[in-house]
Amino acid sequence: MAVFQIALPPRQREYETIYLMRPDVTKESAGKIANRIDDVVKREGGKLTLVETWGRRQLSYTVRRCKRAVYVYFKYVGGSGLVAELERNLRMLDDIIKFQTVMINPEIDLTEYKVDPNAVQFEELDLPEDVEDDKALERALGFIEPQKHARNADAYTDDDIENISDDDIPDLNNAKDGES
Amino acid sequence: MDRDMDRDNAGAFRRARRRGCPFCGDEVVTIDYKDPQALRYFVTERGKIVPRRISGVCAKHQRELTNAIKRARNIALMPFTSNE
Repeated sequence: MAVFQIALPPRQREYETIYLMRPDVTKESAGKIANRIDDVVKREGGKLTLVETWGRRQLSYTVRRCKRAVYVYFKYVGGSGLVAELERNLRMLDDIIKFQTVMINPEIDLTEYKVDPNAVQFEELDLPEDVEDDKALERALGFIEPQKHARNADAYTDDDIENISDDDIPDLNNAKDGES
Repeated sequence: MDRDMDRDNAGAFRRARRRGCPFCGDEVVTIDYKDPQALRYFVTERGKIVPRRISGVCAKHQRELTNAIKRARNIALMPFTSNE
């Protein structure tokens, strides 16, 4: 019995992936990750349809000792092998602490799909330096010494404070009367 | 006497108007795991999913909601549990 095999093009599905990078990730490292994702998607015959950088966000629970992380979200169309390959790559990168892929559309027709070329560019990461204060709670509760203000800490030493004479201290009561 | 009053009050409490599913009537409101602010309404302060007998969500949407909350938890947008 003759068996006819018809070569169908692989089924295209739409997926979305969110990955979390360490809060102190450098611009170069984030760029490398973005390039790698771009390469993998192209190599596996997929197509990026949307990329969004959500920026540094507070996590609901600590992940690999990080309380905050940089969120990046992207949507793409591809076959079944693409997700596996992409996740394998994401797992290898040290700056990525977590990721999740969700299938949004099990069957998609690419001919009817319009993609904005500007929307598929990974944004260059330009975030202010992460100043994570791990002891904020202890400080607020008074268990440890309150943080000195940087300006005051530089301006005065303990000797200066001891050497202050009465003349240096303005008489606030009189000044108040005079000004008002 | 007291017992009668209690029973009356309890009856009045039980007869509170039941609200319909918030997602069935309004097509605009969607369930999305990427929007934890909207999902927060359907979890307790501790982070547990509110049962549908309390929230009044229909079975179909409760299933979607549960899925969305679990996805949001997995990507650290929502807590698994919270002691605050």
